[in-house]
Amino acid sequence: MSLVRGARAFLNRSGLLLWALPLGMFALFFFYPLFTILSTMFSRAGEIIPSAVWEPLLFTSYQALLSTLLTLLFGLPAAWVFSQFDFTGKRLLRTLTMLPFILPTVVTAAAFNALLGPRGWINVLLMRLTGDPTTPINFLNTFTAILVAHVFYNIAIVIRVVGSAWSQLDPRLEQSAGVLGASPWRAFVSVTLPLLRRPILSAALLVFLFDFASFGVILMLGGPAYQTLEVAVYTEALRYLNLPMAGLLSIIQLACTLGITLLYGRVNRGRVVPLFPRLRGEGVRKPRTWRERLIVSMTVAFLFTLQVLPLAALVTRSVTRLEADRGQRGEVQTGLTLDFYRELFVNKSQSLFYVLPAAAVANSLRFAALTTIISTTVGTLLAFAMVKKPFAHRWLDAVVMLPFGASAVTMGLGFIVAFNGTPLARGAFPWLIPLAHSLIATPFVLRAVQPALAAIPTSLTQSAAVLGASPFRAWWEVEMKLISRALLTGALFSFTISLGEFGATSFIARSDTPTLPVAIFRYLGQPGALNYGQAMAMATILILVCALSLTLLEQLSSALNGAD
Amino acid sequence: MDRLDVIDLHKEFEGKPLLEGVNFHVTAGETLCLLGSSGSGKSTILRIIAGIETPDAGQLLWNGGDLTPIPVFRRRFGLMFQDYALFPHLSVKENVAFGLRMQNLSRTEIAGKVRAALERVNMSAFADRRVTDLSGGEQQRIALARALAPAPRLLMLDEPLAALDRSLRMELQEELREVLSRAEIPAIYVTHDQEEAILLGDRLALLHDGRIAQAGETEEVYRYPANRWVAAFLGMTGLLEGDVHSLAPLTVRTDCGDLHPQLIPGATPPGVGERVMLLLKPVNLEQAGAVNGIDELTGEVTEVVFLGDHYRLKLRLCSGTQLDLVATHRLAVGESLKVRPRPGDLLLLPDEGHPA
Repeated sequence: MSLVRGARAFLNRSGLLLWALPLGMFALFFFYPLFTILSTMFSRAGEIIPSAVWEPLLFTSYQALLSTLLTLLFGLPAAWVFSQFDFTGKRLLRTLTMLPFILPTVVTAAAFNALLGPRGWINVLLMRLTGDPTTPINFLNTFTAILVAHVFYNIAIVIRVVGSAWSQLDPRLEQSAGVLGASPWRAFVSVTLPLLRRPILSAALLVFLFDFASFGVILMLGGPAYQTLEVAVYTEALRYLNLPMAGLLSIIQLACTLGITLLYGRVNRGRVVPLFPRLRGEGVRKPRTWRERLIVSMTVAFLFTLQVLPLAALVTRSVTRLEADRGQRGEVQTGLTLDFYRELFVNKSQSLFYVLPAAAVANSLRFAALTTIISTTVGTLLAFAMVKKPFAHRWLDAVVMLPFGASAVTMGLGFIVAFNGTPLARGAFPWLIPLAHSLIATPFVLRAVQPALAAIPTSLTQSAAVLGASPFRAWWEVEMKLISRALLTGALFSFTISLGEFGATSFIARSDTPTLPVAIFRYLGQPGALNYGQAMAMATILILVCALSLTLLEQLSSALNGAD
Repeated sequence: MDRLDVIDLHKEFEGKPLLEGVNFHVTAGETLCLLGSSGSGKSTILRIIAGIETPDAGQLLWNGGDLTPIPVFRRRFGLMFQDYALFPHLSVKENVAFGLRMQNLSRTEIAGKVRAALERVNMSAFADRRVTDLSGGEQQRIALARALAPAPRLLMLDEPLAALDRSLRMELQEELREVLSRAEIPAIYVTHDQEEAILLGDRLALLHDGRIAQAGETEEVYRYPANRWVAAFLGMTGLLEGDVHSLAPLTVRTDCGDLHPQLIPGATPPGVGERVMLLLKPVNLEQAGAVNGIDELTGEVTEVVFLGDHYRLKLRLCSGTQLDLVATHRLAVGESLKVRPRPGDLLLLPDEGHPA
């Protein structure tokens, strides 16, 4: 009896029950696969070609560095414009720049393909104009394509991080520098820039991290000539079936991203809070001089071209017929069509491995729903464990955040190495996919829920208890209700992440259960106008879902800020 | 009649003893003001009574029965938190209804009781407002209504007026006094403000160094402070040292001459030759002249402060002791003055225990 009570008291105090499920999940589905990768590497070390490591490592660093510099080059002026000026369409543009951030890489690849690819708008229109049958612009499978896509993806980070720091700088600092005799340029260099050094460094590191771990963009836009570590892991594992080599590359990749993540954490530690936060809208003004107007309109035009044009090309391309279908001869009827969407539901192929696109949509929705349930449950448990029972908090925080630093490709490789042949992989339902997605999504849930939970004063639950609420009711009626918005935010993130996830899924999706991004990738790789159109149609569906979820997220976050 | 007994409560806080044997009781229909400086553990006592914290040692008896095994949510005590702890996700009405819902009452019953509770604090018009839109005083009223609505067996208020500005505090003190006197339950009111304590408390319990330094009827405590700390905390700072010269009549020889203090009823009389401490309570100059005090003290006015309807003076006595005076007319600094304290204003302090 007393033993039972003692055990219960221990569990209660340490919060081990809260920790158990999340830690179990991370142990089994992250650390065990990681261990399997390592043991495969060491037991079959003979298959490793050490010299083959350098080229992808160097190229990964090089392209990430160049992409980061370009992103800063274009992002910093945009951040300045966003932080200082008020102009029509600012809100919309801000939301639009956020869209790529949650957009699946497959969609981005498809979007640039729709704009600049051999079947894209510009090439098709130019070819029609000149009558020349060769494509005038070769954008796909170039280094430029990689760089442009990376800027497209990450410029929002610079705008958000640097722009918000910039908008919170006290304008009086620069003004007092002016009073002290500094010219505007010197005031900027000697006052504003040093104050923005940390946010700029922080944004740059985050951009570098994402560029370093880039997979889908390189694979689909860079083509076979460009091998980053991630793509090399994919190629070694799935094309050459050299698992030890893939393992070594993925461990190197993991070590690098961890290093960058730690550096990022250092830069952000003790981040300076603005001393005099401005009132909403203070210091933001309409552009006045012609120079200011020019800069603002150039920025708007640039962002619009970069962010909106490819997506618009994708959406319009999905409803336009520009060329003949395979096997079709003679004059093509060009014009608007919904055929590509209709065809998603029509099974034309006799192939055994053919999967109806509509089925891929259904798969994705099912996986996303499961991912949402698993990751919100695990993420919320973790948030409670961290806030309520900070039992070795820092250490466990690091354990949980490690999968966040690990790339999706590493995770996918670990899954096939560890679970191939097990019931998890062979069973009727492909559990590995929602599990992998949940590992990726859980940190997002945690990051959304934990601050909301930590912000609840203890006096609230205590006063609920004094008013007669049992621990369960106090938890349900006070804590859960108060974190419900944060929970919804986390859930939306999970759902969106799962829908778009490509890196891990490309490893573990079975040919009979592709997800939407996997199906888009396959269709893009197949010849024929119809396949191309269907890829466009599926990517458009993904865009719409992501845009919807982003709108909801923005509303949730503004409601959250409004409630404070 | 309901009664709570707090017996020998001990509690450590971060390794340091905070409560070292607290004893007091409170009965139905009376308000006990728990008075003490900040950090003295007043709130902790309330949290222990409520069941939020457990004492390291000691007992809580409710009508003679041990409270310890009863968890916080079954004690049916009301506690109003210092920060009010209103639920930000619920409206005014829903906040007040919370405790009633926990009792699983019917909807109509809850609605009726919520209405009554809001009426009691004059907040009926605010029923559908968000609590986050309320001012400090309004939040205070809602917190009170929420604490009272489930008809608690005991009400505890933790510095309910501390966060409010002075004029609002005065207004709400009156309201609270009325509500507390009408609620026929025992109430414990924690404050560090002795004026508030005098106004609201039927009895006072002064907490110092982890113990109750003195407990008793408010008037009694003021009349006979138990020691130097209590006297100082209640604003009585005039102290004079001397040796007991004779016992009948009680005469103490000081630098200011032979004085004849009163002994606190029940206190053990000192021995002849013993060194003792005398307390000179603030003297009302007008009355001091009228009533025949035995002793005469001479001093120099060192400070004159105008306080609206009266003046507060400081008089430096022979030995440098400061005596507080209240006067209705202005006196000049540097003026020499003779006062004859009334018998009750000159006390022999029973112990030397706690330095001020």
